[in-house]
Amino acid sequence: MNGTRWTGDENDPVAAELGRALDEARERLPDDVTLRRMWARAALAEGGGAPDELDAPVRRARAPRWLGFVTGMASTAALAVACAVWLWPRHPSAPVAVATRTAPAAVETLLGPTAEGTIRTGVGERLALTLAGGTEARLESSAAMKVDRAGRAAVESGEIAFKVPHQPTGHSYVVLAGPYRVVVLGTRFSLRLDDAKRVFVDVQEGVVEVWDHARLARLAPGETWASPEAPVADAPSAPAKTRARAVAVASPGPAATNVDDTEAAAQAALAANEPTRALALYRVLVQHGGPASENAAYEIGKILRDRMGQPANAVAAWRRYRADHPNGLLRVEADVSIIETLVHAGDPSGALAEANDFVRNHPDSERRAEIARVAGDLYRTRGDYKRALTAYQIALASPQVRDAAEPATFHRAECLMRLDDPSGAEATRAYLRRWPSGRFRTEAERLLESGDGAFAARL
Amino acid sequence: MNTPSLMRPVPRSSVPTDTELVARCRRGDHGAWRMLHDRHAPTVYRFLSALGVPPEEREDACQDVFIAVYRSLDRFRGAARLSTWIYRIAARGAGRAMHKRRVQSLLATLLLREPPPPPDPDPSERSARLATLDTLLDRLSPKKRLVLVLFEIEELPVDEIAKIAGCPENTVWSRLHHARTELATMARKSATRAP
Repeated sequence: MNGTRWTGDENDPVAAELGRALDEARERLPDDVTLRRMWARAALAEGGGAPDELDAPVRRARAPRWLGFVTGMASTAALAVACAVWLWPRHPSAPVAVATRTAPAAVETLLGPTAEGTIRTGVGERLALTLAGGTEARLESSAAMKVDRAGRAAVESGEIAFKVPHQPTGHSYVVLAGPYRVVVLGTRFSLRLDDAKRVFVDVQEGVVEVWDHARLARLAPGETWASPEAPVADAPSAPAKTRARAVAVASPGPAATNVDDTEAAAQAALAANEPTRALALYRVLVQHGGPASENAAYEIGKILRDRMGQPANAVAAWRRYRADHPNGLLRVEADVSIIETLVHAGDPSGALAEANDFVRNHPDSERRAEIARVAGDLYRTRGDYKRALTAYQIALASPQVRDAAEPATFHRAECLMRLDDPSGAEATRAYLRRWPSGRFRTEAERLLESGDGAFAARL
Repeated sequence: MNTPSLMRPVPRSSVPTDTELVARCRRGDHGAWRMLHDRHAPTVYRFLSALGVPPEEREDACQDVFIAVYRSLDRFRGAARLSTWIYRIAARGAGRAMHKRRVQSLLATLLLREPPPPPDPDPSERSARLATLDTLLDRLSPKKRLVLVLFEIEELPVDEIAKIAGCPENTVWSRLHHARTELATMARKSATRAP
């Protein structure tokens, strides 16, 4: 079995079972009959030799599948149009009391001014409507909103975006969400209640205030607010994970109470190429403690290095991670990241010290060979072939040598040659035998041509 | 354990290298194409299986991969290993196959079609253990699954995985770490739930 220590203790039956399953997956090869059948089909590609001749047999084989796909798509489109036509006349422009429907994905319905009642959307349905006073509301899939006699909206579930026209002086528009009141003067924002009845507010334009008995938050465009967990008595104790959204957190206050949401928001910020925001969110997560905090502490280093071009700060962040989580799950990743960053930042001495520590402190790590190889390269670059040789030998002795094997083998041979060791030439030939088309073939051949003693003498 | 054929070093004297086979294929050598296919097809088949292409679609998917390989042989410059190049094509092919399945399933649901009958069991599906592994792998994200499969099942070095996945090596390690953690956790949960 290929070193599946990561699955757990070898005596653990689950780990052993997982290891055996991976072994079986490595042997899931086609039998001879299947292989012959596969060849018969692949030979169609050749079709006599010229790639241009491929098209005919391939097209013949594929035509029915394409036809089925196109037919299916056309049927879906027809069904969607039919649903839209069916739904449209059922909602007159007069005020609507209660509307409950389901519709296929991506169907959006527009309603005229809406009076008292409850509006719900089904799975995949969207609904845009106008409330009293000209406020526009857009209900996303599986949302529910109650509208009272005065035209005031209360979000009961799901996500609803509001566009509120500017209110006359001294007036404000209020949307209720659970125990909270969201007070606006004229703005665009969205409100969401998740399964655990947590309330989320996103502001796109204008200013929004969130109140219960007192003002809880004042949000500017681009900011978001999230209620603490379970604001109502019957809320489940563990809120369901909500989908990732690109949101900003004004401050690490109430917005950052849900670890899953904050993590998702940080990932969304990264996806939206907003590293500063992601960094702020991960820093909030670090304060929470637990596994998410550990991961966040590591991610901060990655953002600083990869997204913000601050290698020194990245190294400092990973060193903080190490100090806070000396036996953390990402300890090895942090150590390796520090070494790589120091190498790329032009600090070979720092990298070498870290690499030596790593090799000493992680005798069983599967990245030991890789790091020993890096140490060897650093010693070799500074002309210390003796220490480089030792490092390459450590790499090659590691059971998980894998991709370090080829460079370590060649550079070990090179070090021996440069040290005028009689075994250098044989080591170089052994490299060429093992990797006849290897990355260092030309250099190895050049080393051999220059001759053992002559090579060293020329240095 | 079988050494994956893509990674097996080929003695230069006895068997033509991939580069030589590619050159011969370009000249229209039928035998070379057969040799190239037979050398890499088992690995492609195993790789597609591990990426979740179901048994009834594997041969189609393999055919698509080799057709794409053949059509692109002229563009293969030898900058990467042929195996790396084939893995990339296969990974993209698997992604397309899975997408197609999702679309067909959605269409079948929307059009209220009868689901297709279950396929005949594949002789390569040797055990329930393997089926459980596939179920667990299905729950990983495609990116994590790709890296885990390439490292743990295909046993490729990380620099090659990075080329196939199109990401830095450090990202490969990071994805691998998370994929392993998730897989081990899911395996434990699954074992706890089992009677």
